[in-house]
Amino acid sequence: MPRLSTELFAQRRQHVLTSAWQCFSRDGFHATSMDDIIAATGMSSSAVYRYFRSKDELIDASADEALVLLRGFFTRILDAEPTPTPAETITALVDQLANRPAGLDYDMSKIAMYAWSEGLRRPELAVRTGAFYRDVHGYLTELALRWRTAGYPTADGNPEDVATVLVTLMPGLIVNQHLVDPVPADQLISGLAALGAAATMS
Amino acid sequence: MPRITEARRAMRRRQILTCAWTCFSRNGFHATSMDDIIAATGMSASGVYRYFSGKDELIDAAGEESMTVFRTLFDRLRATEPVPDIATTIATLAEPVGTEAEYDLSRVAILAWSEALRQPQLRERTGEFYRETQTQLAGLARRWQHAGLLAAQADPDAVGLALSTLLPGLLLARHAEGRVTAEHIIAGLRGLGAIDQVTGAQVRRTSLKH
Repeated sequence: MPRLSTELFAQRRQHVLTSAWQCFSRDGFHATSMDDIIAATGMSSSAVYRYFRSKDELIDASADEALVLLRGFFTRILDAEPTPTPAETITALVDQLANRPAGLDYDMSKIAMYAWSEGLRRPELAVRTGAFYRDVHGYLTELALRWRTAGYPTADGNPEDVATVLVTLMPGLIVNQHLVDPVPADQLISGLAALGAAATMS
Repeated sequence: MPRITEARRAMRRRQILTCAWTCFSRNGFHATSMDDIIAATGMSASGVYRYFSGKDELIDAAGEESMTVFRTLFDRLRATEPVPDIATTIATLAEPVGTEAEYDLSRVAILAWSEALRQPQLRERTGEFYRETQTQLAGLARRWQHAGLLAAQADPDAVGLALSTLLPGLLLARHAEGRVTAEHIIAGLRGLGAIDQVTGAQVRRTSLKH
């Protein structure tokens, strides 16, 4: 068999991944078998196993991809001039987590929910989601620092704590999106502001 | 075989449930088999099946129980006089629930979210539960307003929504390294205090001064 070019290799690997994500976001990790994924790729099983040796490897790669997506999101926010305000950031975050990009037949936020469950029983995945959390927290801390530098009036709190609140909101946005009702950004912002003002009073 | 009393029946049922939750909490719903649960109870298979028809029924009951634990918690907050303040409420939400037992219902709650994605009935019940939670928290916000702990012009429903949106993240953080404490959340909220009043233009103007 001829060796694949690096580009073709990357393309095929990505194809296997997106096929797996379709299965995962529809059926979850457990109800999806390697055979389901192989069928979804339209490739031979030996070809698929060249890219990923197991379902767990595919699950881990999904966690990595979710991070890549959010990293892209935060890089765009941090690169924007002027720096988006906290309210603009929260609105963008709500959009990012609620609206899956058009044309995709998988949903990363559903896969995230499966990963939280799976992380409870598989420490290696928990390590990945932990790293994910720290990464996102880092971006948000950087953002909160900028708000402070920009002279944003009440951002005198510790940027890390501001980031903690924002990162703690993210799972709730996803859970609400899929199991309750999508969270309206303006109502969330007004609720946070009211709580913030009350916390300052006390 | 002699008929067992109602009380004994309830006790056995409860025993099976706690064994199931212990297994679920350790291994998740899918990697737990009926055989694992039966082994954990120490009962015979037919004894267990007399109470529950299968794993799905036990999963439903587990989801139900994790919701009940939270309902009890909200009832307690509602019944407490004077009204628990915002910091106490957030601390209560961030604290472990039901972890004194060998099974951890906050783990079961996390498992139930992903299960609800695939099971319409569980999804409906989970949705109802979260709407109920928002209403409960909005009710607390109204009491905070009466007690002067929250601005009169604040929208209690928005406050309920913000708090309930924090809840899943607080549950997840409990099982991750680097726990999120109520103090961190309160301090962070303080930092976000006036986010509804700041526009991009304002930030631009202020940043020019530097």
